[in-house]
Amino acid sequence: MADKNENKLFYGGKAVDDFVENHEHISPISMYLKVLAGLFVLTALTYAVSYADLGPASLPVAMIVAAMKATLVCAFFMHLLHDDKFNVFIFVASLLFVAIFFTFTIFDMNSRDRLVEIQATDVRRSDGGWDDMGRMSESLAKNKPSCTDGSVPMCEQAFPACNPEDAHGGEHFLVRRIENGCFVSEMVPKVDAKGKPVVQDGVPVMVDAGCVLPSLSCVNPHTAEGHKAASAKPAKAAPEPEGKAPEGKAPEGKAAQ
Amino acid sequence: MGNHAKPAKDHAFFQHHFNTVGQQAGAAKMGMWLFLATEVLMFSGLFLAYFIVRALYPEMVLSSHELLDKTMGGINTVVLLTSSFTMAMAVRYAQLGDNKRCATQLLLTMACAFIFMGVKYVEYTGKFSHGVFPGAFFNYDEAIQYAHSHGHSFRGLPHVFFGLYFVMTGLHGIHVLVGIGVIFWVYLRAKKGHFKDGYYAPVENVGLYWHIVDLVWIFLFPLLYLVK
Amino acid sequence: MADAHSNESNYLTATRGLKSWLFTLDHKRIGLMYLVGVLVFFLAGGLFALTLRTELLTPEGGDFISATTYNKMFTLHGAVMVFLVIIPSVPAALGNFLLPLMLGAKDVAFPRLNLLSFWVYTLGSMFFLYTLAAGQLDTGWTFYTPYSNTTGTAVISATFGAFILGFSSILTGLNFVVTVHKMRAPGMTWNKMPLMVWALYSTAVIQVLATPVLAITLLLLIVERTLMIGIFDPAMGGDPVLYQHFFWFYSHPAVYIMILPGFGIESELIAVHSRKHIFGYKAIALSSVAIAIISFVVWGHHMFVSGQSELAGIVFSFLTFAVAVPTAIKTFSWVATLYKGSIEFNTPMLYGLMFLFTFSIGGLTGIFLGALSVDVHLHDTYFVVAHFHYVMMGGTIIAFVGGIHHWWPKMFGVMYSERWGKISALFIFVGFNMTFFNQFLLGQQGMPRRYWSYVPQFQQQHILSTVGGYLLLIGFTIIAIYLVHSLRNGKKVGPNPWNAQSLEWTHTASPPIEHNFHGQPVVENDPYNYPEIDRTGASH
Repeated sequence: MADKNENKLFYGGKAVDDFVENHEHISPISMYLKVLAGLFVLTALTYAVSYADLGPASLPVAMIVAAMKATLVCAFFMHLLHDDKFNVFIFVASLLFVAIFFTFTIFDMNSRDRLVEIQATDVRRSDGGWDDMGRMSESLAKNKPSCTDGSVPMCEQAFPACNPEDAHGGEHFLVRRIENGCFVSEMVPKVDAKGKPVVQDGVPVMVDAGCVLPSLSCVNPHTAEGHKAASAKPAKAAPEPEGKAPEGKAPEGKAAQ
Repeated sequence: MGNHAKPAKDHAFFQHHFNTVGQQAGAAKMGMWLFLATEVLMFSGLFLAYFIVRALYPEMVLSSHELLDKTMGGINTVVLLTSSFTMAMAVRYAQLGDNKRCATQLLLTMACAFIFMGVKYVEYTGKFSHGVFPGAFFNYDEAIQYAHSHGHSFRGLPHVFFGLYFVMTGLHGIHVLVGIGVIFWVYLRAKKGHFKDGYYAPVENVGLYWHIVDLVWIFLFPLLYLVK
Repeated sequence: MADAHSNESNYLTATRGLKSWLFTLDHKRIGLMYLVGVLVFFLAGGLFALTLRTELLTPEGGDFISATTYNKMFTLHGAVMVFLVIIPSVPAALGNFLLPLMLGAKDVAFPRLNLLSFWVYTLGSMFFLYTLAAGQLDTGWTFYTPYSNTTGTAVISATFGAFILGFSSILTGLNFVVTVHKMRAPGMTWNKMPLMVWALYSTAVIQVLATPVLAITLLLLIVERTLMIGIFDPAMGGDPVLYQHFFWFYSHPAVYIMILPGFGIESELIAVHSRKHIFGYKAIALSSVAIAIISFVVWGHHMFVSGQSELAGIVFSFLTFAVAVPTAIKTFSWVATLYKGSIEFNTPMLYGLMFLFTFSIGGLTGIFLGALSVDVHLHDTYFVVAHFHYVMMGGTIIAFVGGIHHWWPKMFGVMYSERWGKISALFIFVGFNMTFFNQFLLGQQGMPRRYWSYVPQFQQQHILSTVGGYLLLIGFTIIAIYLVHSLRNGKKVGPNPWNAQSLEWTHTASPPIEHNFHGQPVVENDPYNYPEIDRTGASH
C-alpha cells in the first residue's frame, strides 16, 4: 500500500507534482520604493492634519490614514497580495474577532448607566448632570464641598508619587476614598486580627502596595500656590478599626509589593 | 529514516517529517500568520482599553496627549517604516539567494530598530524626569508644573492616560527588542550563507513579525500622539 | 500489516534515558509527558476540592480549615483544574499523541515548538507552585478586580503563571492548526478526518484566537496591581466591568477549549464501540466549528449581574441560546449512532455513555443559566457550580478518562483489567452524580457558592455531596492502580484491539513505532466504515 506512493510528493494531503511553495513571489525593488514613498506621504499627511483643528473628525481621519498605511504594508511588504489565500483569511479572521471583541464591549459600555463605584452612585442620573468622570472635576469646581481634617475636595485631589523612603514596613495600607465629595486618605492595617485582608465596608479601597505616603497634598491643578500651601498639611492617620492592632507583617504582604 | 517520498529537490535544512520542502515552507509561513493573528488579538486588548478610556475621559485624554512630542513620534514612524522597507528588501534578497545583500539589509533594519529604541529612550527619560510615571507613580505636582511650562493643563486623571501610554508603547518596545534579537539571528544565518532559492522561510517569517511590529506602531502613533 | 513489524522497537523503547524524554521531539512522548503532568495536577486539584468538601460537612465554618484557607483552597482548585488540567488535558496530552497518527503524518508540523510548549507549560506550573508557597491566592480563578488589586495574596505569580500557560496553549493550538492543514496523508480529505481531529482543530482555532486576549488581560492586571494605571481599578479611575469583558472574551471560548475535545473523544468512543458508522458526520464536524465561532459572542452571560447593561444582557442571553443548537446536533447524532448499533459495554464505552448522560444534564442546565431572568436568581449559587462541574467534569474529564481507556492499548500496547475498569466506572458515575446533583438542588434553594459556612437545613445535602466526593476519590484511585498495574502485567494487545477503522489503529503497531508509520499511509476508507466490517465479518 505504501509502495505505490513511494515516489510521489504530497502537499496538504494531496499528491502534487511540484515541491516548491506555490506562492513564491519576488517583487521588483521599484515596487518596494514606491510603497515606501506612499507610506512617507501618508505619514506626512496625518502629521500635518494633526495641526489642523478637525475636532471630532480627527479620530476617523487619523484611523483611515493609518488603515491605508497598514493596507500598504500588508499587501506589499508582507506579500499578502500574492500569498496563499488562506493566510489572507487568517489575518482577516483575526481582524474579524477583534471587531467582535470591540463591538460587544463598546456596545455594553455605551448602553449601560455608568456606575461610579467610588461613590456608589449612578452618575449619569445624578442631579449634577455629570455624564462621565472626566467632567466630574468641572462640576465639582463650581460647587466645591467644604472638607475638613486635611481631606481634599474631589476637584483638587491628587495622587502624589509614591516615595519608597516613606514606606513603613508594609504593615499598613494607605486607603484613599471619597466621602461627600471629599477625598480622604487614611492608614489601615493590612490584615485584621484574624489575618483577613481589610475591606472598608463595601467601599472599594485604593491600596498603595506597601508604600505609605506621608501626606496627601491639596493640589489645585490650576495654581501652583495652592499646591505649596497645602502640601505642608500632615496626613490624617485614621484610628485603627475597632482598636485592633495589626499582627505584625503578614506573610501575604510580600506579594502585594 | 525511512526511504519514503524522497523530494526531488532538497536543502540542508529540510526536516524529515515533511514530505516536501514546499510543505515545510508553507507550514512555516502559515504558522507565522497564525502567530501574527495572536499578536493582533493581543494588541487589540490594549487598543480597546485605549478607546474605553478615551470614551470615559475624553477631556483628560485630549489634555494629556498634548504632552507627548509629535515630532519624536513622527521621526520614529519614519524610522520604523524605513526599517520595514529594508526588511522587505532583505526578504527579497533571500528569495534570490543573495545572502550578502540580505545581510546588509538586515543590518540596516537592526540599525533602524536601535534608532527607534533610542528615540523612545529619550522620550521616556524626558517624561520620567518631570514626574510623568505610569499609574500610581505619576507625580502630579511635578507633572502639572511640567505641563504648565509647555502651556498645557491637565483635566481629570492624566495618570490613566500615561499609564496606558507606557503600557502600550512599552509592550510595543518589548516587541521591537525581540525583533532585534530575531533579526540578528537571521543576520548570522545570512552571513553563513544559509539562504537560497527554495529556502528562505526564516527571513520571510522574521520579516512578517517585523512588519506586524510596524503595523502596531502605525496605529499607536496617531492614537497616542496625534488625534484630537 | 503492522503486525509484521511487531518485534521492532516502538516509540517507548526507541531511545532510552531521561534526556531522551525531556528533549524528545516525538509528539507521542510529548503527549505522554503532558499526560503525566496533567494527572499530577488533577490529583492536586482533586485534593483541594476534597478539602473544601470535608470542611462543608458541617454548617459551621472552621471545624477543619479557616475561612482564609477555604478561600485559597477553592481558588487553587479552580485555577489548577482550569489552567493546568482541563485545558491541556485532551488537546495537549491525548491530542498530541493522536493528531499526527490520525492524520497519517510523521509528526506535528513544528516538533520543536511542541516541545517548547511542553516546557512553557512546566514553567507556568512552576509559577503556580510558587504561588502555593508564597501566600497562595484567594481571588477565585477569575482574578476579578478590584479585589485582585487589593488582596495581599500572591496574585502576580499566579496571573503570570496563567499568562505563561496561555502561551503554551497558543503554541499547541497553532501547531495543531498547521498540522491539520499541511500534514494530512494522501487521501485524507477534510471529510475523511476522524471527528476527533475536527474537534482538536476547532479547539486549536479557539486557542489561537482567544488566548492572546487572556495574555493581555493578565498583563494589564499585573500592571494594574504593580503600577496602578487605572484601567480596571475603580479607585484609580478604571472600570472593573471592563476587566470582566476582557477576561470572559477569553474565558468563555476557553470553556469550549475544554469541552470540544471531549466531544471529539465522545464521537470516537460511540462510533467504535457501537460498531456503527457515525450518524451525521458532517453535522458533527461542522457543529464543532460552529461552536468555536459562536463561543466568541456569548461571553456576556457571565456578567448578567455584574453591572453590564440590560440591553447587552439581553443580546448575550439570546446568543447564548444559539450555542445550544450545534451542541444539540452533536448529542442527537451520538444517540442516533447508538440506535441499532452493536453496543459493547466495555470500559471506554461506559464512559462514553456516562458522558452522554452527565453532559446532557450539564448542557441543559447551561440553558437555564443563559436565560437572563433565571440567572439573576441562580447567579453565584451552587447551581452554577453544579452546572459547570457537570460540563467540565461530567463532560471533559469523563471523556478524557474514557479516551485514556480507549487509547491506552495504543499508547502502551497493553490492556487493563476490564473488571476493575467497570467497577471504577460505577464508583465514578455514582460518586459524580451524588456530589454534584445535590448541588443543583442546593443552589436552587439559594446556597451561595464559595461560602465557608451555611444554614443548617442544607447540611444533609452537603454531606451527600461530600460523600460523593470521596466515592470519586475511590474510583480514581482504582483507575490509577489498575492502569499502572497493566503497564507491567497487562495482556499484550495487537495493533487494533477494538477493531477500529481510523489510521492510528489500522496502519501502525501498538505501541506505534518511533516515526508512526512504515512508509506513507494512504487513506482510502472513511474512518467510521463499520457496516462493511459487520457484513463481511472481517476481523484482524
